[in-house]
Amino acid sequence: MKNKILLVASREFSVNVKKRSFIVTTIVMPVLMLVVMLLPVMLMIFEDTDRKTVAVVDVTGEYVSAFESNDSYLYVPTEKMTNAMRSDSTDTDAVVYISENLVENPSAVTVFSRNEVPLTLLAEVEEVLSDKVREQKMKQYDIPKLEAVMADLQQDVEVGAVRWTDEGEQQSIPQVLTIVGGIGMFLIYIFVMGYGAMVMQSVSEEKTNRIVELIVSSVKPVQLLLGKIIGIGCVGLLQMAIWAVLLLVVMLVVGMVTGIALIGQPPVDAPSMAAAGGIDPDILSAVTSVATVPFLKIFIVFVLCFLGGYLFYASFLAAIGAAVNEPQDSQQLMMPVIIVLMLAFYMGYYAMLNPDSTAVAWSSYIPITSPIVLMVRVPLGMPLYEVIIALGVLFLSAFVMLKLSSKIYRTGILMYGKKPSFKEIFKWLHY
Amino acid sequence: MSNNCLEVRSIVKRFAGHVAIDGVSFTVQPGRIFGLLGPNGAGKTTTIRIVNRILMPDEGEVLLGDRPMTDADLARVGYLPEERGLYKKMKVGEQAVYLARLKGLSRDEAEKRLRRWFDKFEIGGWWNRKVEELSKGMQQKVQFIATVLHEPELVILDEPFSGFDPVNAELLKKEVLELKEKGCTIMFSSHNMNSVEEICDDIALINKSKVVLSGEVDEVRARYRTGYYQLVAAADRLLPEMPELFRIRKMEAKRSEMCYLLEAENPAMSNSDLLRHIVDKVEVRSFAEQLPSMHDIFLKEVGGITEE
Repeated sequence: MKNKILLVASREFSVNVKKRSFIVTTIVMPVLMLVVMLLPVMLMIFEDTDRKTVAVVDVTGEYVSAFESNDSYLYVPTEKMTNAMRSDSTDTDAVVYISENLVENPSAVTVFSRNEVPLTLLAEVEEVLSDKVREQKMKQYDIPKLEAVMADLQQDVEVGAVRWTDEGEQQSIPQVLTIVGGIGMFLIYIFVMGYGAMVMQSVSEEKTNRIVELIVSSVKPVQLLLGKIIGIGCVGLLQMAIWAVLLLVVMLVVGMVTGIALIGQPPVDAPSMAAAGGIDPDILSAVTSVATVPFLKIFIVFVLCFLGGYLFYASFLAAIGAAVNEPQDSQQLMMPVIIVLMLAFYMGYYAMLNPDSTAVAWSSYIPITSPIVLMVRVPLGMPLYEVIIALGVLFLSAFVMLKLSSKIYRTGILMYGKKPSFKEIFKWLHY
Repeated sequence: MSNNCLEVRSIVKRFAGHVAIDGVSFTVQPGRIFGLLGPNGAGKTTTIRIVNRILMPDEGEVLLGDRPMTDADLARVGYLPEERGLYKKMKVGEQAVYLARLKGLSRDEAEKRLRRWFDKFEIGGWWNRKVEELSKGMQQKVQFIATVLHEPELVILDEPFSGFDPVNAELLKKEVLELKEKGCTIMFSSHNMNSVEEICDDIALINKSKVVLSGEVDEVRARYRTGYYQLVAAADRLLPEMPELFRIRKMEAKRSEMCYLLEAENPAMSNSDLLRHIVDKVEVRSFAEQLPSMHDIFLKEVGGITEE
C-alpha cells in the first residue's frame, strides 16, 4: 500500500513545514548569519567619515614628522598643549603628547581626549611611534645598510601545495577544503540530529496522544513508520535545497562584486586579477580558491550522507520514541545517542587534522560515524570507490536498523504503563 | 461483507510471560450488535486488536464469511479504540479528512461526508479549530465521526461508553442503533452491563483469556433462569405453598395486595403451567419471572471462576 505511506508522509511533511521552528531555522537563520558575516563590511562602508583632528605635541621634536594624516585622522603639529584643548571649543579631538625621547623612555607618550580615546587611534599612534623608535635604535648600532638588511629579512615563505591526480598536477588548497569539510560535517551533525529527533518526537507524540491505535487500524505500523521517516526526511531535503539556493545566490553576488566567477569557471590566476582589480591579493586568492572547491560533488555526497545517516539514526530514535511513554523519558534515552553522535563529531574533527590515519579510514565505514567523517574526507579527495563502499555500508546498515526498529516500534506504540527495560525492548524484536 | 459474518476462530495470543487470550472463538452475525464482555484485563482489547489486524494471533484465525480476513478488508471496518486520541495541533476538519483518506476515501468524498456529519452533530463551526481547543466531549464527537465516516460495514467500538459524558453516551447509543438499522454490523466491548442489555443482540463473555459464555442476550438470560417468580395477588386469600410445584421464599403485604417471591421446584416447568396452578388459588394481579440481569450473570460467571 504505497498510497498510505505517501499519505502519512505528506501529512508529516505539511505539519512540520508549517511549524514556526522550521520557518525560523530555514529562512531567518541564514539571513541572520549573513548579516553577522556582512556586518563588519557594512560598518566599514558606513563608518563615520568625519576626519578627526589630532594635535601632536612633541617636546623632543623627533617624532612629529612621522605622523602622516590619513582618511581618519588629521595630525596637526602643535607647539604646546593649551587649556583650550581641554574644552570643546577647539577643533582638536585628541592630543598626542610626547614628553621625552622614546628610545630612553618608551612610555613617555600619552593620548588625551575629552571622549574615550578611540582604539584605532591608539593603535595607529603605537604603530607609528614603534616604527620610528625601531628606526632610531637601528641607527644607534651604526651598521651600514642595516635598514636594507632588515627589510630583506621581512620575507614570508609561501608553501604551495600540489596534489597528484590522474589528470596531472592540481593546485591544492587544503585549508579551504578542510574548512568546507568542517562546515559540511557540522551541518550533517545538525541535520541528522535535528531531523532524527523530529522523527522521535513525532512518534512519541502519536503515542502519548493515543491516536496511534486509530492510525494503525488503517495503516500497518511499518507503513506508518516509513511514511514518517520519508515525510520528515523530505522536510530536511527541502531545507537543504533552500539553503543551497541561498548559498548559490550569495556566491553569485560575491562573484559579481569581486568579479570572480565562483562557480562554473576554472580558477583564474589570482595575482594578475588582483593587479587588474586593485583588490587585496590575499583576499582574492582566498576567494579564488573557494572557486576550486568541487561544490557539486560535495553537495551530492552531503545529501547522500544525510539520507543514510538520517535513516540510520532516525530509525533508531523512532524505536526509542515508541518504547517510552513520556517525552521526558525519551530525552533521557536520547542521551546515549547524543553521546555517540558527539563521538562521531570528534572523530570528524580528528579527521580534519589527520585525514589519512587508520582510525579515520575505519570510521568512514562504520555507519555510526561515517556520515560525519565522510563529509570531512570527501572535500579532501577521498577515492571514489571508497566513498561508494562507505555509502553502501551506511545505507545497508540503515536498512537493517530500520528493520529492527520497525519491530520495536510495532510493539512499543501500543505498550503503555511502566517504562520498559532494555531487556524487554530486546524481547520485542522477537514478537 | 454486510452479509458475511465475522468469525473469530480459536485465537491465541501470548505476550512475554503470559497468555492474553487463549482459544477465543465467537461469531458476530451480520446486521446485529455484538457485545464482547468481561472484566478489565480479560483480553477484550487484545481480541479487538486482533480483529482489527493491529496484532496478529499466534494461533487461530479471523474469518469474514468463509475466507480469512485481509488488510484490504480494513477499509470496511471502523474502529474506535478505548484509548482515543487526536493530533492536538491539527485542525479538526483537516484531521478528519486525513483519517478518512487513510481508510481509502478520496479527499473530496471525505470532505463532502464530513460536512454532512458536522451539520448533523451541529459542530460545523469547528472545522478550522485546532483539536487542543476542543473539550473532551467535543473531541469524542469528532472521534466517533472519524470512526464511521467511511461508512464501514463493521464498526468496532472498544469500551465506547467509558469516558463519554452522559449526553454523548446517549448520542452514541442512538447512533449505534441507527447504524444497525442501516445494516451495519457492530461489535463492542464493555464492562458496563446495563448498556449491553439495552442494545446488544448477542454477547460473548471473556474472563481470564477464555470465553466463558456466549449467545443471544435473551437466550443467555433464559439459560441462567433461577426459577424465581414475582407474584402480586389480592390479599383476601393467601397462597398456600405447594411443595411439589413451588416454595414461597418471601411474603410481603402491601395495602390490599400481597407480594410473593416464589421458587419453582422444577425449573423445566413452563411459566404458563405454573401460573395455571396459581390462578385457582388467588386473584393474580401480576406475575413475572425474575430473570437474572446480565450484571448478575456477569458477576456469577466472573466471580465463580475467580473463586476456583
